[in-house]
Amino acid sequence: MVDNIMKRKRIVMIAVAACITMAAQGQGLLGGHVTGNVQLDGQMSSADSTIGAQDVPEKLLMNARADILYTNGDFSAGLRFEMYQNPLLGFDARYKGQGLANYFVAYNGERLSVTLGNFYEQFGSGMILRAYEDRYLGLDNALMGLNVQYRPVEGVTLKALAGKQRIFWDYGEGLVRGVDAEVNLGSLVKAIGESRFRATVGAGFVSKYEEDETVPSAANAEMRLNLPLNVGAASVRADIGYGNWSLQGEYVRKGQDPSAMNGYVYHPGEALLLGLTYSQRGLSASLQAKRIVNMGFKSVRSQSGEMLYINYLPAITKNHTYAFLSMYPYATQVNGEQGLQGDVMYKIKKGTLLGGKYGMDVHVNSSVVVGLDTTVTGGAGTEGYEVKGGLGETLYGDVSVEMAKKLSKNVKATVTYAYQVFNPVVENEPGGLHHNNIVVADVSWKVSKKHSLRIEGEWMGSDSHYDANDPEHNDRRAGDWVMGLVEWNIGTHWFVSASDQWAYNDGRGNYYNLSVGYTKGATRLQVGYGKQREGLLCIGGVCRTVPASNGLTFGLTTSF
Amino acid sequence: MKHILPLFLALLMGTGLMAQNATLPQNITLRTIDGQTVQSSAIQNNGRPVIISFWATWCKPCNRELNNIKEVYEEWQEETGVKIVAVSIDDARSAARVKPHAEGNDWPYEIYLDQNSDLKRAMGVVNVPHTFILNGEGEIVWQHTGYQDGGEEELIEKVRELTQQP
Amino acid sequence: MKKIFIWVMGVMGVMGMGACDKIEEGEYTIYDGAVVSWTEGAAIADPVQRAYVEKYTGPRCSNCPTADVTLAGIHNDRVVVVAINHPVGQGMPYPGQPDMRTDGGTAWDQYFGINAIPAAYLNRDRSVQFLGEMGNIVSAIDAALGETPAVGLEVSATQGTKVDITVDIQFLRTIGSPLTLTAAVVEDSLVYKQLMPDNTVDEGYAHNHMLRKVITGFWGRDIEANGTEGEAVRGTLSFTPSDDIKTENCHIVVFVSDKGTRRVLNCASCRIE
Repeated sequence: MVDNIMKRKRIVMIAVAACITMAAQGQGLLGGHVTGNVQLDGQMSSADSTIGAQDVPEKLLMNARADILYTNGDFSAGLRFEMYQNPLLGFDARYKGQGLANYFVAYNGERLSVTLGNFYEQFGSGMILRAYEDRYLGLDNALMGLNVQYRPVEGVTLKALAGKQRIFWDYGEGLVRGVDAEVNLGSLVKAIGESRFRATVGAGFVSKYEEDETVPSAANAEMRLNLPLNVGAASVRADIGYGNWSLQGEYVRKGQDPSAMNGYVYHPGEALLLGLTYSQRGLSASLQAKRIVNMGFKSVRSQSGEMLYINYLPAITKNHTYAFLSMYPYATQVNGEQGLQGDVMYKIKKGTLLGGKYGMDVHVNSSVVVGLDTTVTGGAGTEGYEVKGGLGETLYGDVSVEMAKKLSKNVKATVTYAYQVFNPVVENEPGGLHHNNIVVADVSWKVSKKHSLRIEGEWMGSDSHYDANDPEHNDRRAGDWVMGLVEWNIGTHWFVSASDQWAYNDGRGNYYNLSVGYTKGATRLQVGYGKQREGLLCIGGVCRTVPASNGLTFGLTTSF
Repeated sequence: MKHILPLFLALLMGTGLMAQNATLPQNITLRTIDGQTVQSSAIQNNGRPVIISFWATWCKPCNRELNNIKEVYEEWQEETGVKIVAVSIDDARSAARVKPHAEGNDWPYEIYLDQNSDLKRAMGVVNVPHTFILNGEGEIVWQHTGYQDGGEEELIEKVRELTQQP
Repeated sequence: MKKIFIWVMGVMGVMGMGACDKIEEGEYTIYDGAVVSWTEGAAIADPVQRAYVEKYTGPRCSNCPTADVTLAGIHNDRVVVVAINHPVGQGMPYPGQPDMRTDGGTAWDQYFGINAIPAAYLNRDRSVQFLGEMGNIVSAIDAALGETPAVGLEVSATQGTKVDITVDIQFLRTIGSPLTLTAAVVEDSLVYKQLMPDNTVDEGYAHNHMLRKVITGFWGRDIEANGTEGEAVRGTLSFTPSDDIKTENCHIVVFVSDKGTRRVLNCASCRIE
């Protein structure tokens, strides 16, 4: 059934593609231009019991996509071709196949923008609505429908949209509708615009409609839930600045939304995000606070997993990039969490004791996330729980200090120390808290005009241990680790890198990787060989599990 | 099914030939670091070249690139009149840190936030860092993905080619 | 453009305001059952009055087979029988035997306050309970069948991946009070031990008309109609029979009843095609 629909869609889209091509070919007549990008990723993996990698029977896995955008003045049309034959390890098997995954026509005028077809959108920080895509996570919740944006006067933006969300090669049944308004007071009120005071305020409302279905009550299987067919979520927000200070806040509420995410309970949802920052040249500080209660908001209530989210709940922890710092990534707990993050960046001036000849950058970051303090009152078909004001169990905490200093004209070094507390509960795993100490040293050396080297060493000491036979301790990340990495850049086009990660206390295999890359203009080709640890790949607090793999990978991206 | 691929390849080849006169997408809503909305058409430099650099607070090569350019930016401006616009693709998780990050690093650039990657998508960017050079008419004349130390030399070389043309 | 946009915003805004359902505490759950979707229906040719007999029985009840004989004697296509095993005592299954008690049947049993079996109700008229050999039920059914029908009712069912049921209802006179439609599946030829009048246990006793599931929820679904004379509506619903139900031995039974008094106005049954 779905296949047939997709086939019919494909035929229509081939026609659209042909039209775009013709329009593009005939640009002398029609004008306009075409931009886009192509990406190809391939993987070959063979079994390796030491890291838990499985054999890939089809030998070669490949993901490919091409985005093509035709623009002519205020009008544009775009489409995206995707192919997963078969999906790379870690991508949902339901992506298997190929076809046109995204297409739209749009008018983008000075005051009015209208998009018909697939579109992406975000209201405020996205806590009530964010249609977005992350190709590395295999996430795409693009809406299919109508999106209108209107800017009646400078500083006022009104948005309205309706549509259904993409799930793999189909669209979810739930209908999403939303309106949003944002006003920049500085543009409207002259006195504010001329003062040092800045303020933007906004409000949005999103509603989801879904047909009734039979969901049994937890207390009595012969009772079914009286489901709300329309679920609404509203947001108010402000971004206020004065001089070097700024304060951002958003508060959202969601109506009763029993769903597979929250165990079909009727407790309403709410979330608060607050941020205060101070910044001046060479010094900045920020403090953020967040509290989430039952804010998982999907267009199909029976969906678990990462697809069909209407909203986006950002993680409050820092997005670390060094391998060991991000080994235990934190994923937002949509059913409830509360957290704080503080961040200070300071440039120690040149010529001081610590600053030396070139100055030194110091960056301190700390975050802590705990659960909600709740009393469970029932299961599916009840309010579910009461929320109290206290703190729940510790979910995550870290503190990191990073110092970056130019040692000479050609050598720059960065040293990072971090302490981390991780509760595997956030990944629905047992085992209690892991406490980790991490040290990273990262030195880049410009050897000559054409050659540069980057050397990275990392160490992680942990109170956790690995035991394949104990379900409480079979997390392959556990234990003490060392890592070394050498990256050699040749000119601006080539790079070669080699790295190895090794859990040195329990004799587990090395996770080595070799890769070579070539970049020219907007084209990049990379080939790698090695062992990939199983784990979570996380972007923005949203994660996907990636199984262990052992073998060759290659990737090509180009933009035009 | 099988007809789609050749058709697409033909399409891609057709489009590849016409990448010449693509311009900066207009009327895409961005945000300034003070939280105000502006249209992408605000990115311009009075008839002189513009470098648009897509970056993110968590992207190490992006930060290396922007920090390294900072050291030569004044010279570049005197020589070519070029302006650098740094567009952050940080989403709600780190968007609040864009302003402190930029000011903490003492970056002299014009900075915009593209929180839901609307401009990134419209310009066909896959990964950050990704840098574009726009000529005085707002046409995209060169683009580059990734950053390796010394990459800024190639960048300014391309800008010089633009400004030295009669 | 501007006007169109304001219009669109307005419509979406109004939609938005109403687009959040609030369910009061205490109403979070409702009886399980299939949802009936209602559309305009067609008039029913030759509507007939049928009789709905709900019989409470049990495998350990020695008088029950006698009641079965009585009902078998009068059963025809205008008499619809649903047999329900009493939840306790004589209704309980013998060890190792299939348990034909259902949650829906138990709810009905408790509503009627059944305390001795066999017992039966005709058209769920609570004023007359038929007990024992049920001799007088025959004349009562005859009398009921002689009435002029208030609603015409027909049912058909087809088996696909699930069983789709189509119910046609026509109001033959104006009815002011709200009505409900209940649908159930009953199965014939279920063989399990039955205590016989001579106090022997018949291992090969075939039980007929046994209630297997109340499809619509125990007390049915509201019929979405004005109730004016001549009005016709069509209800469609579906259910997935559990694996232990042999659909070839089943009938779909539907009845229209008064929502308040629960008295049955008319009923119908069909095989699953």
